[in-house]
Amino acid sequence: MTGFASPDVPAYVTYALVLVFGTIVAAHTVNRLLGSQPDRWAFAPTWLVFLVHAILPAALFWFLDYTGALNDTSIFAALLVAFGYRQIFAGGVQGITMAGQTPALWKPFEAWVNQIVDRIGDRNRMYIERFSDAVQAHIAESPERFKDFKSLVLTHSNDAAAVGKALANLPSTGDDAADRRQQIGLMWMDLRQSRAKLYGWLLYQQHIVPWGRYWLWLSKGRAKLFTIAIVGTLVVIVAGSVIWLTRDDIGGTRQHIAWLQYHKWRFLKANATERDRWRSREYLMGELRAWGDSTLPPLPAVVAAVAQAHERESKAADRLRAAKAGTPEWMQAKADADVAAMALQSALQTERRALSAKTLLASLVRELRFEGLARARAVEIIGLLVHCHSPALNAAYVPELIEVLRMQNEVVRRDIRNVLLALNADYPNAKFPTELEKWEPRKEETPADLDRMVRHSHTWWSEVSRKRQ
Amino acid sequence: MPEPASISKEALQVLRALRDSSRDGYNLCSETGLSQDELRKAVIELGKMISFKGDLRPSGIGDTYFMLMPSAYGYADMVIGSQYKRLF
Repeated sequence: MTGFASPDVPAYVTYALVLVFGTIVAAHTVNRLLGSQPDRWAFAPTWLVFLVHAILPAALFWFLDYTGALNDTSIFAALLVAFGYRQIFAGGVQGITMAGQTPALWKPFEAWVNQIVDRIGDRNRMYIERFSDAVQAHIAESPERFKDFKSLVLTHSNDAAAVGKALANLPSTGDDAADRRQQIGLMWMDLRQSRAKLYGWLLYQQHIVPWGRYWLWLSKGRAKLFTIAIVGTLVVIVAGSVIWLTRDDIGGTRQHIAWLQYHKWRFLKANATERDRWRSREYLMGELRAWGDSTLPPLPAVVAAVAQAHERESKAADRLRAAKAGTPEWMQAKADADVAAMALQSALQTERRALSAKTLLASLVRELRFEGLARARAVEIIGLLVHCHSPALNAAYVPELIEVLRMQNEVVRRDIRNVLLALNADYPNAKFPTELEKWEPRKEETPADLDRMVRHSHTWWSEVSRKRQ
Repeated sequence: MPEPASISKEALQVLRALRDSSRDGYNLCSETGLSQDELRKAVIELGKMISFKGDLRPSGIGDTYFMLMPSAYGYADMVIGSQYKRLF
């Protein structure tokens, strides 16, 4: 499936496809599995089965990509998993093989569904019994209702004479209320036998059972209420998430972080397709190239500056609203508001850079410290940093990059030394240390050798940083 | 999977009704046209193919809840399919 020709689209599109179609297939699957259970959507376990069936294709899609059975940017693979995940589990799809004994996981899953059906059966019976008991008690409360119920039973009975005879032959308990309940019980059984499907409707029509109780217990009312509650909750969650991600500047920052995390994942993913990695590289290069020239303050200072700029902008806007249009005070307030708005935008830009440094640069450099990192991955990361170089951007990661020189992989050490040499061009008057320039990293170098090179590098960096300031 | 066994017409009617929907004894009798005693015999004949909540005594069979487990759907379909002609 990895070599299968298919349009290569961003992973968020394929995962969304798997989730949407997986949800449709899940609803169909639950209706098929629990199809013989009336009011099945009125039970929490049914929703749990639905949820698991809806999430399962997405989890399987991720797992198959992780094991290299398919690519998670393939649109055809996404549709195949969404619609045919059961066949994949059963090993019935040529070209997609589940790793190890994972197909056997389907068996306990089926046993779990059987257990849930069993529990739903229990509850259905319990609800019918509760309904019967509640209605019989309701009838016993009023002589009028009892009379109406008796008429209803005798009208619809398959053998009214036998019912009348059985009622007459019922032995008395000596307690009027108990006698009445026995009579109701006998007539109730006859009505259930004679009009098994319609008895609820008949009771409602005769005003013996109120509409609410009939609708709730015998007209799928519980299932409807449950469905409305769950769909309503989902709508609130989705709407809340959209607001959370789009509301003013804070929402924009959250979106920015989410996109950075997504593209970082795709860029560092070991088995990403070339096109997918290219998409993420383009995005990240765009981010890093827009870095600007000013040096980045620490993140807490940036956050405080944004809060301060927000406050100033808010106060300036208040003053502008309070002033009478056209007056000198209004002109001054307008100028102040414009300045405050610009200052806020500038603070937000700085915050965006600070977040990129924290979310992206630190992770990329940390990845280089991994001993088993493939050369191709290291070249990708280093290439991204060098292609976007600028004195302001360099300042955000070079000290951490120098520390990577301590790692044992001599090829990556050489690459990083070359990066430092290349970055030296950003500082026209700086002199790159000769010992570092002539250094040829070797496998057998001792930690002391490496420490010396790290110290040389830090000295060089302190020098260029000081000159820049 | 064992070959579908030959079952009585009453048991087949019960199986078809439960394949369509789980239901209590009153509804099952109404759907199949069987008496409560015939229903009891049919349920015993079907054995482990169906599951029930309650008891099979004449006083309680109407309130007993009968169902077919999803794991038995395939076998039930095979039995119903193989005995389909017998209903006509």
